[in-house]
Amino acid sequence: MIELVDVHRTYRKGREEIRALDRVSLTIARGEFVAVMGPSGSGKSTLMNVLGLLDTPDSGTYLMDGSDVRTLSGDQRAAIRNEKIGFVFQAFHLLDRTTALENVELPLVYSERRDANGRGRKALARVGLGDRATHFPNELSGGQQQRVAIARALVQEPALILADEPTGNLDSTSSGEILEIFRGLNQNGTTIVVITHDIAVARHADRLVSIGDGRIVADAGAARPVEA
Amino acid sequence: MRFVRVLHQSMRALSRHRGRTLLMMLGTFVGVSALTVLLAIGRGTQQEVLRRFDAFFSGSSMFIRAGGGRIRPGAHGAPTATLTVDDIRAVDSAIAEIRLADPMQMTGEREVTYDGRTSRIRIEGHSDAAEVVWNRSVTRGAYFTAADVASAARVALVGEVVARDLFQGRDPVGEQIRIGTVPFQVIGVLAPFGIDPHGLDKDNEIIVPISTLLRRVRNVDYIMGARLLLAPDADTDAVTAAAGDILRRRHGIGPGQEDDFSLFTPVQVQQLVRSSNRVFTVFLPLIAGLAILVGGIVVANLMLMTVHDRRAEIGLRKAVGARAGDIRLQFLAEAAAVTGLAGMLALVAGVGVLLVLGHLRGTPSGMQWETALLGLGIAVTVGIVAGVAPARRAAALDPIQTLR
Repeated sequence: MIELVDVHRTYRKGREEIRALDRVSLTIARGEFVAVMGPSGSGKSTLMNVLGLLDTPDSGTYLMDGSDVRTLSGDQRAAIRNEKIGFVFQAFHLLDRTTALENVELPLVYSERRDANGRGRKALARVGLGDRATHFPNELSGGQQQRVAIARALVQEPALILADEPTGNLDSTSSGEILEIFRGLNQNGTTIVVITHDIAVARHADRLVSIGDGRIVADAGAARPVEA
Repeated sequence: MRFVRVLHQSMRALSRHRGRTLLMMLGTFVGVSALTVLLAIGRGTQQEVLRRFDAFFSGSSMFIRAGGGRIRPGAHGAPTATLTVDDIRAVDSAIAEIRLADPMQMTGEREVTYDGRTSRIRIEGHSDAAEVVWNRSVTRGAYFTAADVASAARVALVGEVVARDLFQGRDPVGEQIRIGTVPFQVIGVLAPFGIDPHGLDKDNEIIVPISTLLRRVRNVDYIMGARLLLAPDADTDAVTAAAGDILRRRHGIGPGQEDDFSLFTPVQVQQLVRSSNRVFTVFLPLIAGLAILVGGIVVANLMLMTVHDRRAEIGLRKAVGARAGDIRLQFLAEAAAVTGLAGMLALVAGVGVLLVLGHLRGTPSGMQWETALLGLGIAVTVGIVAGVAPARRAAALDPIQTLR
């Protein structure tokens, strides 16, 4: 579903030029569970931004479901983010003083779909927070907040979930719960890409892509034995 | 509909940030309520002045006034001493279209004594024609007659305030008073009139025959002017010209020399009053406009602050599919809603203030739908204008930078 070919992305930081992505080629098939690992500054966040259509490569091609996203307008990219991609961030990014349900339903505001009714509650139920719909973020634990954020990522039933250090702010118990949710989603056919620098997190994925200095340095089809 | 859903997000955001919302509303509220109240009072005052004018200058009439130029005293403040009762009689008898003429003179306040009590009261001298010319009769007693004027009789008509204050409830008719040292007999109480366009209380004055005022009270032989009552179909311009010719001939004023009298029609006087009321129709609204401008700047600044504080929210919205236009709409709508709501509250408050002022102090109010809609329109416009820059800044934010 995702095909990157020779993708370049260069930033300018003062006088310095940073090659965040340097001739990156990567193919991710539908239904994969991929972990992208690398130290900070390695370019893994840029890779996630490019994959999530938040950033545009300077050169190279990015085919998503066969169409070149570099030719799309800003509004078209926004529509794809809305329908096909769910984001999960390290800092959760929930709106405060806004109920869990309203947070989950946020993508529906910007959607043209007509079957929005009940989607938010369904997504909350899938992350095990069906009974917390009217709670505010400050009334929830960190793990619960991240689960609300995952429900938000799920509400449009996207084909791809991009998670940037999703367990970075959580204790190990909560981390385990989050990764279990990802595993369950993946088994239902959702493609999942988790960006992390934590090998324990990466082990949950089926495939481990290592990145360093903007290049892919290793791509192991099986970071852990694939169970049949 | 997406548009409606985005607007709903605006309203939710406003209720989430109540403190800031109220602060933004305050600026607009002050400006719009000030504008509403000032515009309404200004318009009401002008209407009131014009209404009084109509009462005062009703009918087809014109004025002769001693002194040249516009309505102002002669040079150095000295009165022009050339216009006489005979001048007015000459004009009256020469021009057929003049039905009645009332020559007049007045004094400043004089000591008036009754039964050992003394008040300072303005004295006016009129002819017996004044009853008709000024459309003001007596409620008790009788007006003085042509014979009283011819004989300079010491008779007086008192206003209602004089009747109340000086006579303390006793019927003034038939009583003796002294104006300065001269004894007068009160023969009538004047119908109530109120404040005239010059701000004089016409109920706190005494009217005596013009001849008596000139000879026994002021000891002068000139008058300050006269009001002429014209036939209903009279040509005001022609009468003005003819009266001017007669007066110039009698005063020996040649061509090219400046007149020592002025002729006015009520229309001219009304225009003068209208222009003197600019303070209400231009100056006060200008101040209110400045207040609204300041309110707009406050709103714009707070909106810029809110955009900065909500960078993460904006980035998140973009990540989950908000287009730049959606973000722009949300923040524009937030600004417009704040000022619109403040504008509505300001209108309610303004009407309340006007009702209270009108009730307590009789302040006239010219509140109209246009005034209200104008205030509301200005408020929303201010919000939209103040919201444009913050909304554009929000829409241009890069989600990568804000979601770190």
